Amino acid sequence: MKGYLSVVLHAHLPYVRHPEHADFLEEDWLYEAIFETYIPLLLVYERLIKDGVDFRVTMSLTPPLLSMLSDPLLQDRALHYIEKLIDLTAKEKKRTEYQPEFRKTAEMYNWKFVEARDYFLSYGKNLVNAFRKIQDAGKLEIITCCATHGYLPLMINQKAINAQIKVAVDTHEKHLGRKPNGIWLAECAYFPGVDYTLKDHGIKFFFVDTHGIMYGVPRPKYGIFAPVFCPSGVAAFGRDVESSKQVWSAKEGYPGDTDYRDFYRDVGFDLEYEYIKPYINSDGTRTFTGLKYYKITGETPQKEPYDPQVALDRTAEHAGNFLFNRGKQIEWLASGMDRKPLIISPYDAELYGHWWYEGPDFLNFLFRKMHYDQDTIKMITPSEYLAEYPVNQVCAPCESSWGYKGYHEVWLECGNDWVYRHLHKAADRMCELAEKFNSPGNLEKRALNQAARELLLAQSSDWAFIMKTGTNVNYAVRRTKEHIVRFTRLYDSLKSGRVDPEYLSGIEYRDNIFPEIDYRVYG
Amino acid sequence: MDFVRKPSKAVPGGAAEGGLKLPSGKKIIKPAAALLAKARAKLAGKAPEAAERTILKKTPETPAVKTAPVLEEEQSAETPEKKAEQRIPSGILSEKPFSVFIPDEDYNSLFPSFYGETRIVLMARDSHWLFAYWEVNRDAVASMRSRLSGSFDAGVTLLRVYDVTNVIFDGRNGNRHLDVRISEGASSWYLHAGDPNRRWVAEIGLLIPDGKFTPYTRSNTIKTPADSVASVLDEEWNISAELMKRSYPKEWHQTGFGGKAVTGNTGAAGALEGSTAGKRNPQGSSDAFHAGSSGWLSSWSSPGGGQGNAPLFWLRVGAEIIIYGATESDAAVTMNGKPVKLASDGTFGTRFNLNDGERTITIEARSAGSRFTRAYTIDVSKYTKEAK
Repeated sequence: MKGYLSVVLHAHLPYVRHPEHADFLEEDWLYEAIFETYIPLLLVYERLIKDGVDFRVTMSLTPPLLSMLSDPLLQDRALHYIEKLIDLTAKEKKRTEYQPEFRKTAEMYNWKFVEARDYFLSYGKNLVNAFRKIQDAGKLEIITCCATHGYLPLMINQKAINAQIKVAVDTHEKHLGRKPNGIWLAECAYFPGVDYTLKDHGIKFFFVDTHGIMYGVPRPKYGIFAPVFCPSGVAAFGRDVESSKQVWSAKEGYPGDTDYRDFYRDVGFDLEYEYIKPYINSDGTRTFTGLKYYKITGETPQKEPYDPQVALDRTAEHAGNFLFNRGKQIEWLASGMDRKPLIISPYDAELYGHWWYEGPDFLNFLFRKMHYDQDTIKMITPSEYLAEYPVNQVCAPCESSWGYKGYHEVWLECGNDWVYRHLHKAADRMCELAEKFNSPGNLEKRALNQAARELLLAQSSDWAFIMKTGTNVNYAVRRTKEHIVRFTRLYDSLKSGRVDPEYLSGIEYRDNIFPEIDYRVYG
Repeated sequence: MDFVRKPSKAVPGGAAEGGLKLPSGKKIIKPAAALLAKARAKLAGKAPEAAERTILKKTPETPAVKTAPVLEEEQSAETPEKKAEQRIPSGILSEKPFSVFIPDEDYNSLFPSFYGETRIVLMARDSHWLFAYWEVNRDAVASMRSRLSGSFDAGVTLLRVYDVTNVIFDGRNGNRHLDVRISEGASSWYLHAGDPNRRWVAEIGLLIPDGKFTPYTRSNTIKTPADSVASVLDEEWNISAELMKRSYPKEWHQTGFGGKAVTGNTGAAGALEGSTAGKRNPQGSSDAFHAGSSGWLSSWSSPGGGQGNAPLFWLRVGAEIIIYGATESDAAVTMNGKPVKLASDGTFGTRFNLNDGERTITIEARSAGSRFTRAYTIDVSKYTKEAK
């Protein structure tokens, strides 16, 4: 055994929960992720354990995601979502009865969705319990993320940064029964000094993009193939370029293989309107249903039918190729290093299953091959690596993110820069409130806690990200403005001593994240 | 992550453009707060108070914060499996469970544009570009008008950005500054500082025809991040050339350290980027740095030159200076006004990048209680030229 691999999956969705509406398009992001990514991954883990395959994986479950997965309303709506899909797949089996090229795929959807629903129900609709089980089995290291995926380098107010970490650690402990050892900083966005805040909350490691380590001072001896200690003593792990590219890259990466399922050809757009109407948007707009029958085929609009078996064989090949390349990489590195090199391969979890439909199968083969077919590389979690190598070089990483161009441009550009005036002001005002109200009455206390929730929700980096990427922009603008408006109204009413209990109840009902929050985190 | 997130949230054909769809069915089931009880009662045709009372009984304290407490009751009554079984054979489920409709606030009209304060905030977008936003209130304008009297009307709004690397800024001692004339009505600006690893402060103010600049307010200090591999090496963790080759990703060899493709030297073109078309500055005047009063720096080219595209064969050179000394362990030492940390035995040392130019470094020690002061100055000059 010559070196290690850490697969890190960042599981995150912004907090989208609209109890005030019966049907809400953006809530589907969660349901899609549950049934296309989280459950397929959990099934892979469970079966590996059952088959005695030793593996390690690291996942960040962000506080908004933990809050949504454990929310009864969203759980019920998720169940409703999958039941509807099962209903559709039953019809699809019939529809494709005499179309052998589609029939197999229709059947696959049907049994996969039924299996996913049963799994969902077997954990009482709360997937946090399922993740926890894998964690307790010692195979999965679960780490946290900023409380609402706030983009720390652009936050400025130190107390606001502290609150993002403190609330995250508390939420993590509440749901997972232990404090997190590590954190995935939202968008991998690091700035020097934030490591001291992490340290204050017991966090021992985080991740940065490649150049975060490479541009560190002094020059890192092992590059990105061993962690460094920040001046605070918190460890920083750097993303490996090579393994990232093999999976991430839309062109050269595995997910672009022509035998894999095409994401865009969806029955929500393809089938006859009256037939598909009950399964698309409630207002009659066509949308993705998750049922897709074609493969990528190539750069052509003439897509060919998808064959699940051919695609599955392909994932096995790709897993073998990935493992072969890592083996070469490790051998090459190990011969020049005086310790075992570590390759960090981080990805958005939702890449697997939702976007790259065969992604969970790829991981399944990768983990099994790693266990049975070779002994050059072993999988490891960051905590385990630090336990094996407690002495590391001290190096101050460079301010960076994993966004386009490596710094903050994705989250600070002409489409979204207007948000910071308001986010900064609200953060300063929140600190002002926390200082002013030492012993608030019950109503005031509720208003203060709600103000903290509104601020945190406004700070999600997802809104700026969506504004930049250009789809669902209206929703992101709306969310930012709504939370700022709600915060501002609470702030004004607290300052004037006239908190409106009805208004407060209304927004407590809507924005119910972090029920235990204590506004004094901003004190 | 651009790769995965985009498709996951995209809905082609403009389906998602509206962002929010009003619900078609406003099904009202078991509200969780007093307000919602009223809304429900109204829709159900009941008296509001009666509804409120029932709700409040169930959830006496801050009912809405807890997630839909009424759901528990339902869950305990039936197992999830049972519920599922009941639902599946019934065909299409037309409505999602458990929703209470409440009208949305008019967030657009309630959203504040400004806060009636005088403030400027500076942010680093990357190693080369800064972003500033600001607000100047009426009082500040009025007091500026009275201070400048006649010349106020002839003044132009100016954003001045100071390089305050290694100085404790007092408004005059910046290493250099960069001026941008601000178009009327602009309240934010992107500007090309072009220099990684430096510290910056911005002021928004008025420039009057005689060249005098009077700031309204000053920003926070920020630092532009590095964009290349550090020159500082660690003696204890020294890296051999062979190992460096092995452990640094291939891309870094190809472009030379500091030329990583993704970070790009995007600012090299020197064009200004504005938040909106109205904020663009076609003159590109922001690239013109002026030497600061201290004369700390006299050249803006990077040490050894060249930031554009990586040439086929390249060489970059630079120099660093190490200043060190010792004094009483409880003394306070400053270097050009900036405090220096002492080790427990009273020794101190610092190293920094040496740019081309002449400079004087003043090291001052003050005894505990400030009874005694000793100071030294060191004059340094450094010039880099291409050898023939």
